Amino acid sequence: MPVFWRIVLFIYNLILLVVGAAAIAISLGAPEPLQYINLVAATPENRIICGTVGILLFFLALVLLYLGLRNEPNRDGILIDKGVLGEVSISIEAVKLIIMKAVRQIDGVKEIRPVVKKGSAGLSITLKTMINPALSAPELSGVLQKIVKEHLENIGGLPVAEIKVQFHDFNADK
Amino acid sequence: MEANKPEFPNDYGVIRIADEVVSTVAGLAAIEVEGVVSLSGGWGTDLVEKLGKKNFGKGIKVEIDNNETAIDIFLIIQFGYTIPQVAETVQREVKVAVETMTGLEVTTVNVHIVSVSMKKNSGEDNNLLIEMEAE
Repeated sequence: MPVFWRIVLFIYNLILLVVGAAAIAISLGAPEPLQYINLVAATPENRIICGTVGILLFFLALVLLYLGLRNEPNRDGILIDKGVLGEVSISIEAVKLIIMKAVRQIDGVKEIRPVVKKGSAGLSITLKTMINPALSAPELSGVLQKIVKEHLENIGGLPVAEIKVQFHDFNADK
Repeated sequence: MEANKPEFPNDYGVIRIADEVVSTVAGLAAIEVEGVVSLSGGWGTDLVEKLGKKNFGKGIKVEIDNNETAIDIFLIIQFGYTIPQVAETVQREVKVAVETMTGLEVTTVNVHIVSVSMKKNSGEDNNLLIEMEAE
């Protein structure tokens, strides 16, 4: 989504926040929102201004809906290959999925959250993991690094610069 | 932009090919390649497809300038297949299919892998599940 429309979306959300707060206030019995609504409908000029704002918000909502639903090409992918026929790239999300599927083969890993960054020498990966406390952390980290590197290089053709393993918790549940 | 669209004149008139035709041909060629689970058209397109309107051109962006065609394909690949090999096969098959069926010259076929899935049949559902886990 272009930056301009992100700002519009932010303002739109603020307006919705105010409308939501007013609705809650009315439901709790506060008289102020109803007084403002009566004020808006009091004179023809106010009704014209209110109608214009309503039409504006209506069309803004349609544009934002369209921008949200359309399929925007992802240009943030990692370039795998550039040949005569064209480029082959892979999204960061797909790289994360390859890592997660590779790690599923390893016993003792309870949870994994990969963080993937592009670097000039290759991918820089941080694996935030939760493991079984019965296992040796240094041994498991070596296995993790080996399997993730192999999968990314063999399946994705992706060069890996470094793989950091962070054990953030232990979990003994089966 | 319409002026840049290719035309094939003959004795009876002019033949014009819409972008949607090219994207459908490219989509059908890509989905036939082994290792490709599906094309990714964004959640809006996927939702419309689930409601019953099949769209073979989803996940494909076509740019035709005069007689030269550039195609961008957004794919979900089956886990276990070598991505560069599958992508190269997709590029080759799409180029051959579009050039044979439409007579247009395909200059580039850019392949973007947007996700990885386990099974071909239940690919999209499984993919959604894994994506939810990733979040």
